Amino acid sequence: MISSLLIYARLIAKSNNLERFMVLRMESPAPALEVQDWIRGEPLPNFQPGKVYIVAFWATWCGPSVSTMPSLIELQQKYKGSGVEVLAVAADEEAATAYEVRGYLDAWFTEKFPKLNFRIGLDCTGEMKKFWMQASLSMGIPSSFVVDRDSRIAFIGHPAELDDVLPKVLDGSWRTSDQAKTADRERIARGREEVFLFKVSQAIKMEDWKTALSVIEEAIALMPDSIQLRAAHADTLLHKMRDMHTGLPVLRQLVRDAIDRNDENWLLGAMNQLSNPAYDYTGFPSVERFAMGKELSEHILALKELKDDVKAYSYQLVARYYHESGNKARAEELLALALALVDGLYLAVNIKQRWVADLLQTLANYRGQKVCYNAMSAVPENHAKPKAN
Amino acid sequence: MHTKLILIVEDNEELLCSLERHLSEHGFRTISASDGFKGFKRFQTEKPDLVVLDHGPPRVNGYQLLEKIRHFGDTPVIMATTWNSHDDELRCRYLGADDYLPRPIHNAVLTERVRTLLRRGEDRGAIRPIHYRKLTIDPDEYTAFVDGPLGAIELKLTNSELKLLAHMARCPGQVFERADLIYACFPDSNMLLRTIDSHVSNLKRKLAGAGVDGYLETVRDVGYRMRNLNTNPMDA
Repeated sequence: MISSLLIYARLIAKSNNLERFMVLRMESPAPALEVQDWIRGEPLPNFQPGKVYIVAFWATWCGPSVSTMPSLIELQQKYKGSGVEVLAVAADEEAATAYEVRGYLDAWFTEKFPKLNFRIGLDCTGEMKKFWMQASLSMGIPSSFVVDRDSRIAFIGHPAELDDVLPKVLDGSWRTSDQAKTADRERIARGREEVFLFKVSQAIKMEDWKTALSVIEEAIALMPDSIQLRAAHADTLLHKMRDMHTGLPVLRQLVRDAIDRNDENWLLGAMNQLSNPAYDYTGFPSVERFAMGKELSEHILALKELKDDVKAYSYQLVARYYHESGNKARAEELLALALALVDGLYLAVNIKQRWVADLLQTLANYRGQKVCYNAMSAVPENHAKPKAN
Repeated sequence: MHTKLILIVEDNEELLCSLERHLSEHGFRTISASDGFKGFKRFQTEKPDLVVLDHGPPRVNGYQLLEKIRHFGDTPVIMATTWNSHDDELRCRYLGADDYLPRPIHNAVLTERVRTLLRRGEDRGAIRPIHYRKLTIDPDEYTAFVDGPLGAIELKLTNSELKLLAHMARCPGQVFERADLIYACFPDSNMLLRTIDSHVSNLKRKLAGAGVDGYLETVRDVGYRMRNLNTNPMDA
């Protein structure tokens, strides 16, 4: 425990250096428009002071991106008189040459959005992606940027938020608001977390443990309140590297912090490390594992005001602990409660059926006999047990 | 000998080879893609029986690809994720993943999960009736009923109308483009987009005639969907 805390402490100092990386954020000057080709609308070499621009990144293959097009058309129509100009940048299309992409996009817009009322630019070199998306830690599309009248960034986020944000940008209240500052701060924290986890994932895939641990520890120093990073640390050591000697103290500290915080994300994150059917726990000291599991389970079941989906998930998770530790009746009782909760969720039929089927299967496996729920049934299965590498 | 085709979407060549080799040794046919965009193309053209999906391949990520796959039907999907968090698992559930495996993936475990899901899929082959508010559609029996005040009213639907209705009723709230509907319901036809408009128009009329007007709606410039009335429990 002490060693891991010392590592974190040392790294906190080092992590402040990470701030030197200039993340594109609210108040940053807007990066240059590196668009070589305009599929729709007149070319725009640079932003004109006094105008507000919405720069939306999207792709034809991305369903959520395409779904935002009608609302961007409406926004352009609604705010045209206020000096707003929308431009969408196709930054990741699939074709051998820019000429082919251009032809494809032209035909696509002619068929799908013949009445488009804003510019469409093509980023063939990847410069837009680099200086806008990557620089702002935006990991996915669709993503939108609002460039204010002074050519500074006012907002970065999902286009669905523009309905709320844009009027505030236009009346000048957005950039000074607490809402904007909080949203930007949280966006950057999420982005950093995702970037770190992505780097660690890549290192883990290559089994480059040294890099993976170094990145995780650096990230935790920067974001000590991130349960994702703390859980990733324990996960990497215990389940990927199978390093019990270093991993167990990290897990103990994670469990202790989760209980002290009594926060659902932390408690469930810690429990996930202790009770996952896909992991092999043969190297774990079972007495200590069950003791930690018992304490976490009691805290999880005592959590108040959980949403029904999280509650159902938590019952399923805790049921695993009770089943493994020998309290089969409690495990089955929790699974029955989870079934009722999932059945009551407002979900598409095919989604709900999958979840109910999974719970029912677990119940059948625990009971060792066929179980039925409404029109569904499951018989026990013999799963292959995971083995350590 | 299995003849089931498994699509693996994975950008790490070493992991991909290991999975492919193991599944092949156990009698499955495999195809693969190194990014989500190519993965979706292969899914569309080769119609695999099951997909093993890395959550973070380049371009279209695993969540986006899962969403797109669910757009087209019920092909079982196993999501392989590096991290094991309840947020990720819930997200996978909401997007319709059938199973969720944290890395490292043990080949024996994965093969067992593949077998289990394919077996469940076959059990489900006798597709259960789909219930959506007052509507019950049984694709096996080619019937659709509306629960009326005086008992069940059978909808007189053509085969094409029933396929479209069943497909959209499985995912209330999800918007389907006309081309998606053709691909999912009539994959081997050369149906025109406006034929879908005609079928949907007939469906709307027949549903309204049975007293359930408004279940099916047009989403301007995009396509059609079953209204997600479930999101408002008061809206019966």
